[in-house]
Amino acid sequence: MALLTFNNLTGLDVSFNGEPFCNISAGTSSLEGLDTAYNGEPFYGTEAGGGGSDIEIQAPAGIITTGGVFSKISVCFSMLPGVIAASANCGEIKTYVSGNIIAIRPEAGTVAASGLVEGIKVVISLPVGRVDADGWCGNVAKITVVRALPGEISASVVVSGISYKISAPVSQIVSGAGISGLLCVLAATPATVLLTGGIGRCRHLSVTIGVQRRYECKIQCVGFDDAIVPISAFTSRQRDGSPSYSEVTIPGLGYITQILKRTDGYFRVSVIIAKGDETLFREDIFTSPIDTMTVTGNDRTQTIMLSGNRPASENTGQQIIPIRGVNYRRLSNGEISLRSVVTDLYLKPGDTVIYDGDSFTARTITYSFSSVGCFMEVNSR
Amino acid sequence: MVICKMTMAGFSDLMIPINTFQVFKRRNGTIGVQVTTRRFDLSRAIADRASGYIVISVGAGLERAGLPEYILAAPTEIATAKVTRIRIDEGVQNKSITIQAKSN
Repeated sequence: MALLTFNNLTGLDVSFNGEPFCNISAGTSSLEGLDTAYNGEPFYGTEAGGGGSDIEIQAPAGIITTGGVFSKISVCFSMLPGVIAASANCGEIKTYVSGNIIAIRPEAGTVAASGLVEGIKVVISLPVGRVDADGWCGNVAKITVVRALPGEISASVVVSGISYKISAPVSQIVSGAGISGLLCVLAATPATVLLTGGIGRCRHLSVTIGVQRRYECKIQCVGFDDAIVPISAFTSRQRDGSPSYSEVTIPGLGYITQILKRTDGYFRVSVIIAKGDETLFREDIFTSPIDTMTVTGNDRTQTIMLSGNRPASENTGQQIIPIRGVNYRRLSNGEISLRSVVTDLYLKPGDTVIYDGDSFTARTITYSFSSVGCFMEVNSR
Repeated sequence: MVICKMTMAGFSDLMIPINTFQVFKRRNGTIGVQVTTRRFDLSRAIADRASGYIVISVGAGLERAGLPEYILAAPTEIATAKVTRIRIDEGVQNKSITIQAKSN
């Protein structure tokens, strides 16, 4: 039986119980006001040249396309969606299975937008083939991939607020431009992480297999080239409204000559994630003037310690940040301290932190690294 | 190798074998030095130079057997400071001399 084609759906109120519903085409018109209910039957090939709003699709979606604007589209996927694509702006796409649960449970083939995409909320429990954003993705912050095996995440322009949680290997993360707000927890090794643009606000990057994490200390001083020195430990303490104190420990005196020439300068500590000779990720942890150089030792071993204070910086964009990887909690006279093995480089004094029922303003944040490990401690005082 | 030298006008330079040392240099120019040695046989020579200076240097060193003298190849001076205090600590088994120095 030939399937029916509807060309003008304005004001259409349809309910199909037990019958296939295919090939809805609105041409260049809008799907404004469409109210549909499909109970357990496939739904294929919806095209809305003029976009639409308040559209609900319950059955498997083959392709949903628009040359116009999608506003407040509610998509319920109980099965595999093939493609969700919008060449124009998508105001607010929400996908959920039922109630307020926002999820795409089966495998998602492609979620793509060449225009604006806001408010996508997706929970995927199976592999996602690809998440593309060729245009600006304003609020993809709610994309959370759980227990998934993503094939590729790529962005040719700025993508802000991506929350990405991966517990299985990711084959590739590619960014041709800045990725802002990337919340990335990698418990396994990505095959490739290629970042040709910048990464801003990459909050968590924890890679445990196949790559090396190391810390680099650069001594910088006007009139001299930068000197890169090895460090065996560092501590950086930021306080709300107070100068931040930082110190690094340099083993041996092999670099004493270079350091003595640059004692009027600064030391900058960065974390580097590398695989072999390839640097996958680099981010500055802190920069501090060299206020004091201390050389200590005996006839066998010596160390150089550089320390300094930098002025307090105002936190103008307070965030609410969940703390992960907490291995120690202290409550003393109403003062809460959380120690975590996950270092959040973008947590700032003045931000609100959340952990297991605790919610408090981070007044003091301490980063520490030494031969016994690294940790971050957040204190409410 | 780190060596400590005491200098004072009218006296020859005195090389002091270091057991422990600490040098700090602040951005405002303040320098502090503390050196501890167990070479108690040098206590008189050290006391003679109590108004002198301490110079801490690092470099590849050669020790002359049996003598508290050292030769440094390509030495780098870490700090020079004026002696402010000499302290002697004596226990049941060990003795040490601590020299503190400071410069503004």
